[in-house]
Amino acid sequence: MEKTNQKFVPLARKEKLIIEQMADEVLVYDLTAHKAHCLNLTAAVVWQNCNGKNDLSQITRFASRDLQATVSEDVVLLALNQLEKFNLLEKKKESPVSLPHISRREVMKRVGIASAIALPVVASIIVPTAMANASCALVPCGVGGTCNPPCNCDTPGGPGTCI
Amino acid sequence: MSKVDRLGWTDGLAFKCQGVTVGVRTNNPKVLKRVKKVLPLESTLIDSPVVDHLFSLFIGVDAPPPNFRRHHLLYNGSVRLIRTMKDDELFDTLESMLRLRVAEFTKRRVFIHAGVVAWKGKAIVIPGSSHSGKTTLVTELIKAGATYYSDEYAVLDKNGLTYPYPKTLSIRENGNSRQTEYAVEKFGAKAGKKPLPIALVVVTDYKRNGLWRPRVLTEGRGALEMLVHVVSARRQPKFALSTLNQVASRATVLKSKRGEAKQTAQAILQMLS
Repeated sequence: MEKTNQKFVPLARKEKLIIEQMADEVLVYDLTAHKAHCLNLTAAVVWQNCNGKNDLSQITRFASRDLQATVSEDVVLLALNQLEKFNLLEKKKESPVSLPHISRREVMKRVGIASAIALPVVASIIVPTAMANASCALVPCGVGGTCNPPCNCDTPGGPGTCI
Repeated sequence: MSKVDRLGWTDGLAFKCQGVTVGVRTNNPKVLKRVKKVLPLESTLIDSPVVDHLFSLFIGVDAPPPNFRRHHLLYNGSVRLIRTMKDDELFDTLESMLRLRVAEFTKRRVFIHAGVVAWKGKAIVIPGSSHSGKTTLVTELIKAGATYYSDEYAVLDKNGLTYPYPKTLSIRENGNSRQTEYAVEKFGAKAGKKPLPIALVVVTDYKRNGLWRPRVLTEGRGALEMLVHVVSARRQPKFALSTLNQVASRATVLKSKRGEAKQTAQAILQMLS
């Protein structure tokens, strides 16, 4: 891999986030987007070392220390790509450097499948509203009634039931 | 004053449940007796002119010209929830919405849309949205000897214990979207009474010819699967996450498609045995 620009210094976003530490993972709730994310240990360690001062090589060094295993820059870059994708890094308008992209497949080719640490994973869900949890079959529909999403009328245009 | 306030309300009641106050007003005082029957579990009537949430129940009356009948209407605030001629649909909707509002706004408990049974002193929670087959699975579990806790909500406290939330089982039969209510005693089952720790969370939904091949989720992924079904997740995300952390750190969380409920229920109970 060509040398990445060392001036990229990511900063973990903290505002409008609720963070819940679990044994080996971190749950993050994004209050602006109503999304929840689960960071595995590798992703969580990389995120925690994004303090706006550490560049890629420093984050890699600190991640290796925290995980007590050798971590490559490619793995850290993969983590940063995912963190950026899920809006967990501060967006810096003045930053001259954009984050290079690397795919999971490329990382696996380079570090090998049998790596000492798990590749970073950020799992994400959209948190539904309370009404989305309600039973659909409460409301008649078709004539004079409508269904709340995600329910739909079983007989559009005619009397029916929300399903 | 909104339009709904001008509909001519003559009586009402207020109750408190899990710290949430709710009022129901109506144009026909005679229906309040039936309203009291559909109040959520552990509700206590209160004497308060001010409530957190207000439902307005307009009972349609027969009026001239001949054969003209006004619809029944139900509002939550100024939002109309239902317009129907059928009494049962009106009160079914009211009952569900009262439960939903309490579940969404309480700060004392986390309500997860889930079925819950107990087996050997521990709870099994089956999160799922409507039509995922959780009531069918709950029914098979109680037929196999599990104790019934709920087929609608898992009610959790901050320590991750789950409380009974029993109601009649709402079963869809023969592919119908409407449900039929059954008492659990019909299946020879008992309803649980005390809070229990959760041993197993089963994230599943029915798929025709589906194979039961559960995989164990990590604590974080398990908590995420449950969060999707937490009613108050958007209102109180911090409380929801910390409670789910308690659950996920102690329970095993499984995920799999399933086929017929009977076989799946037996497999689940065998795991805990």
